[in-house]
Amino acid sequence: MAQGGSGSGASIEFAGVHKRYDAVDVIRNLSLEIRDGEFMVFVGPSGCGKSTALRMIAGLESISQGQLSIAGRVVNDLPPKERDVAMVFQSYALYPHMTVRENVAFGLKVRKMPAAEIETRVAEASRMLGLEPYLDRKPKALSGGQRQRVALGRALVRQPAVFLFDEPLSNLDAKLRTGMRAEIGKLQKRLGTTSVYVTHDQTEAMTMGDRIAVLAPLAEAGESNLMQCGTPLELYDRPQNVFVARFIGAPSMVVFEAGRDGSALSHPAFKAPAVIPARWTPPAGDRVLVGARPEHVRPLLGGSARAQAQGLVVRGEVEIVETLGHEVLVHMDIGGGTILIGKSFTHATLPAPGDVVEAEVDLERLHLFDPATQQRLAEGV
Amino acid sequence: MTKARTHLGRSIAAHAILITYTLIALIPVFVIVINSFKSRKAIFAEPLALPMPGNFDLVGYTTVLEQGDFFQYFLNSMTVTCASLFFVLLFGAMAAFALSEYRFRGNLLMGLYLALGIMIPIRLGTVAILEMMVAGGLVNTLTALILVYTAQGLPLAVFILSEFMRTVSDDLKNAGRIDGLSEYRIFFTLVLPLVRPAMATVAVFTMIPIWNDLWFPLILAPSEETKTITLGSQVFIGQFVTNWNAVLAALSLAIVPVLVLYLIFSRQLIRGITAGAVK
Repeated sequence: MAQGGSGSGASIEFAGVHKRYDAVDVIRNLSLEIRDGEFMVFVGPSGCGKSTALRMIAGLESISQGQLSIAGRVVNDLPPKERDVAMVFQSYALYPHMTVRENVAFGLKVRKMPAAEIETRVAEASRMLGLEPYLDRKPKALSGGQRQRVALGRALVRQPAVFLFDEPLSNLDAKLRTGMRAEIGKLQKRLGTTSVYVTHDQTEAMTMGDRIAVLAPLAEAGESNLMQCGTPLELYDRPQNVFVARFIGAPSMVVFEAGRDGSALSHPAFKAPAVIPARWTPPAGDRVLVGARPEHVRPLLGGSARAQAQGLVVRGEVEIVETLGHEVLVHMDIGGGTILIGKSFTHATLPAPGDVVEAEVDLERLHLFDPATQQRLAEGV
Repeated sequence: MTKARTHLGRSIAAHAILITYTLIALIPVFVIVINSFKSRKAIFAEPLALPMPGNFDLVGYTTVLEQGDFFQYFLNSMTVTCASLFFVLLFGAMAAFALSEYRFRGNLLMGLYLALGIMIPIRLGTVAILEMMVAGGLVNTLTALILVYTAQGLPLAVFILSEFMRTVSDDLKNAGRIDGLSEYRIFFTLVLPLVRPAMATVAVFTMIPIWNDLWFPLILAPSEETKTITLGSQVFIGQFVTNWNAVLAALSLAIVPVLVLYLIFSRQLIRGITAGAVK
């Protein structure tokens, strides 16, 4: 188990994959490569086809058009058992009439592995996951977290070429989820097995994935469900479209429309027109979508701060104040939109709803999108 | 206080109703059994008296065991019931699995067609069935009875089991598929154990009418070698004279096997009903 997966170079490739139910498209034109040993996360809101895509890899869902290959072999028509994949389900899907030990060993028994080998593997997996105390219990007698571990163990003992995770943590409470998140991540790094992980939670995606594929429902996506695929930081720093910009990052990026004249941006809430940094290629029309992350909006407290402000200064009324402890989120109404200020305030400087405040937006870290195509504007490096 | 009292009152009322019902249901059985141990005179003189040294008589049992081949009748009934039950459960469960698990053209129609048999009594087709059995040379064989009873039991079995199988989680079956199980093994090792309570229900509902049936044994298999216990008991009911001792003894004996089978299945049944509640 320590030598890292099957080592067979289990990359996964979607080439123009479509999925139709009757006449309705669920997945359109999905092309994506998952590299050997990579931890890939499919993330998106419900209905975006992320689970369907995962189930296609597993062989539980047929492919209407296009090609899916695992380790260079086209698997479109291969049944699940011949794909050398193991899957962890959201509902855990433990066999309720078997003990934990039988659950974990079942897949190996089915494959007619010698009993001694099964025993070693089960022992190893249960040691890794801390399952030893419950090996002889039935799933009914376990807590949610323990069941999740058994489900992981069942996947682990198989030593498959690919691990598939279908929202495995969404039934756990928040604290357990954070713990398991780190644990699954560590396990995957240690084994080096190609893994695909489906979640609707962008935090989970950002923290776990080597790369993330953001999918959108076809109604919003148009040509293909795949909105962007890249490392967590690529998605955070350079979202390719408004959908990804809003989806990645918590709290989400605020995107609002501003007027444009040359390279100057104007908006009723701006104290003065702001000049777009030179690296951006100006858009065609006279409108542009401006995106700002709360962490790049700094409150201007006191006259001296206001005087020193260099960037884009916005002014508006405070709507609500959310105190999270380590930071405070202030929702500021800027006329037709809300901007979030996400910097630390002290007790003395905490604004109240109704106050008019000023804030400085970091111009260098603005995101600009074309209002017509919703795509990121071109920028030089 | 008042709350506790109404609870107690309600509980007494509920139990009174249940006990009354139980008594009504059990008294005929009780009367049959006690009278089977009495002399003919005592049966008519005091039908409700318990067997006492004065009226105790085993003549019914000795007649039954001497006359006719009662052991053979028993064996026939057992064979027919168990075989029919086996086939009903096997084919019923398989059909139910196909209907609940796979999306195919005509799935719904097929389900309705299979459920139609619940509403149309199979006895309406007796003449056609008899003709078929004659043509197939199956008259006076147990096979004929097993075939008819399997057909009779299937509709209800398919109906109940397919509803239950829909409740088995898809993830579970998919986990099995990924673990490398064939569809047959998913059916036998995952789904069947999980619908065991439903199987027990179907078994009980299927078994009792088969064991008690007089109609088809009389028509399809009345020969001495293939008589079932119900039909066998009829020899003691004559047009002019009825040997009550023998009839009651035969009936008492006939209750035993079906009672044993019922006890076996009902344990499963109760376990199934309480499985969710007791956790």
